[in-house]
Amino acid sequence: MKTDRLLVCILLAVCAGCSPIGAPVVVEALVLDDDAVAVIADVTLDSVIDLNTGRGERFDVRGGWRVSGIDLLDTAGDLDEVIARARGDGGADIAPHMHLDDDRYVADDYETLFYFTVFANFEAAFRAADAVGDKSRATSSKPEDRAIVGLFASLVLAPFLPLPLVSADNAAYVGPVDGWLALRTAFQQGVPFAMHRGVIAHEFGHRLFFHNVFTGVDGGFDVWRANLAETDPSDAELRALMLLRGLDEGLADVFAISAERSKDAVAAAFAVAGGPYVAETDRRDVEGPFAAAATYDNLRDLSLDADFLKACALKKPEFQQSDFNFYCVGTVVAAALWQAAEADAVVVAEEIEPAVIAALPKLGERLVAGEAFDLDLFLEPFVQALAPGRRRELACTAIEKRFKSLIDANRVPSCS
Amino acid sequence: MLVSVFLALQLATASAVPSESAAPTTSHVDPDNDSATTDDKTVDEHVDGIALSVEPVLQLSARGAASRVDTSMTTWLGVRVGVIANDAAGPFVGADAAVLVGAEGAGTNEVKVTRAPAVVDVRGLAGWRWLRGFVGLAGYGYVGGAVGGGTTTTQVFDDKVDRGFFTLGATGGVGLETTFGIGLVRLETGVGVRDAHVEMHGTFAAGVRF
Repeated sequence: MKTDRLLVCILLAVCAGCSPIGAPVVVEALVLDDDAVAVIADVTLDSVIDLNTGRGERFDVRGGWRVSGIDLLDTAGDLDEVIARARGDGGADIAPHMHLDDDRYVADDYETLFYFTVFANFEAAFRAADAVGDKSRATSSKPEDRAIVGLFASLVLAPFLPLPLVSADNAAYVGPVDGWLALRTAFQQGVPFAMHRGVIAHEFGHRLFFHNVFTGVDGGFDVWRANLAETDPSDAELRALMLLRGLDEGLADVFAISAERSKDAVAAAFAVAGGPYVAETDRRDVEGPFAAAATYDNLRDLSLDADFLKACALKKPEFQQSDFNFYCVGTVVAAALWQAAEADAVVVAEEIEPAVIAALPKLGERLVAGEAFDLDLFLEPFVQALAPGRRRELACTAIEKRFKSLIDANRVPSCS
Repeated sequence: MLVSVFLALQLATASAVPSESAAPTTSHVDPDNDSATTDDKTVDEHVDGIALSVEPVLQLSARGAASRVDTSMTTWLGVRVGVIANDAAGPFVGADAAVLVGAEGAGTNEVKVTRAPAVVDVRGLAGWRWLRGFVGLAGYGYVGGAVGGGTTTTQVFDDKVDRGFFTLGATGGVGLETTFGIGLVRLETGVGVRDAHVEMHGTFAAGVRF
């Protein structure tokens, strides 16, 4: 090591925290190459305000953040009041261990590599959402709309009883805090989920759904609040809630495919994660055997192959079950949109996802109008948002294959 | 921030004053006492001036991690060689030096960052020793500095990058030492700064003193 570089390293170490390290900043992070293989590469962060603390233009990465489950259930007040309360102290500044090496910052330990990678992944997700035309609060640049990413955060029962409920091997978007939990690595193998760009894009998709459906529409937040407060739903309400959650998951997968331009954006993360995660690979693969066999109707009446139903933990007809794997519904939605794109991730990014973004506020409006949710509340505005012509015909064909009863009942009139 | 104050513990309290049965120091020896021969023998074994110790060391150090949730742990193994100016009862000062090799790492089998530092750790010590026959108990404080280097390895599947690094630190702490004849066991805990990060450590050492 040259003497001058050594001096810079020592000064950097001593003066860490002295002055902000703002964009553009080049860091060494984990990225997926063109073949979706994870590699180490230089990434330019273009929205970081201070790499030393985790502060960014549209999101902050925070450490030591514990989200209280009790506080999440307190939904009194408007959106900003709910978010402020649920965020609690919002965690602390990140304390990266890094050094400067040839004009780029290199992580000295795993957590800092994790931090650099998470920051880069969220920047990529924001760019992808901008590219598909999102104008909601999800992609807002206003300081007051800034999201939080909790590095190694955890969801605990309550501040006075910090029993961890969710703390490892996952990433999650949490609506009431309008932020994400990038959870630590414990038992999984492969690329840690929170370091995986496809998984982060999926989680970003949940923010798109939340703001486009519930907060960007007058009265939408009240619908969201009512859903959260519903502790003893009727069979019909339970059905609607589970399908809505399934749609949210499916569209999050579609956004990941769009952002990463790869059908394996999410599914591949499970393949090498080991243990119970491997089985999820097949259920999330939009070209896998589950996606080929499952439809809205054969899940609804339990006529799908028994092994697939078992994998979905689906035992009751009409989705009237609170503990089934609603991701299965999500895969049916994602597979339909993938078919509509003729199995082309670029088409998903350029035609399908923009139509999804355009359809979500319409879904919100119909929910506010009091309509009970079923998937046609999304499918109809989605088809309308596609340009008339071949793409719309392909979408209708895909919808007819997987949602035949809705088409037969003329619940998606744009496909009549 | 460098620790610049040399700690000298004065742990003796009223209740800790050696009892009559404790090994006497030179000033306690009564030449007319029948037990003088025994006491002198004890004194002779402990007042030779400089004593040399050699001890294998196991040390764990922890520093705050980027997330401010977990801690980065480093496990150190090494050998320490020390000199004590007075190994009799009462106050003593000394110095030692250790070569320590560490290991730390986190991540999955496929994505991980590991570090392998090696340092030379030099310290000054001061404390107080109680003796009862061949058994001694000492409390002491220490300050020191460490300098060294190592390798950081970042691995993402088959993509692997090795980088050398330089490390510099300063520590201070307290320890308890038990001697049994020439046998020596130490437990220490301390705090310091390494590479601009605050670090805590705990040490177990067992060796011999001549």
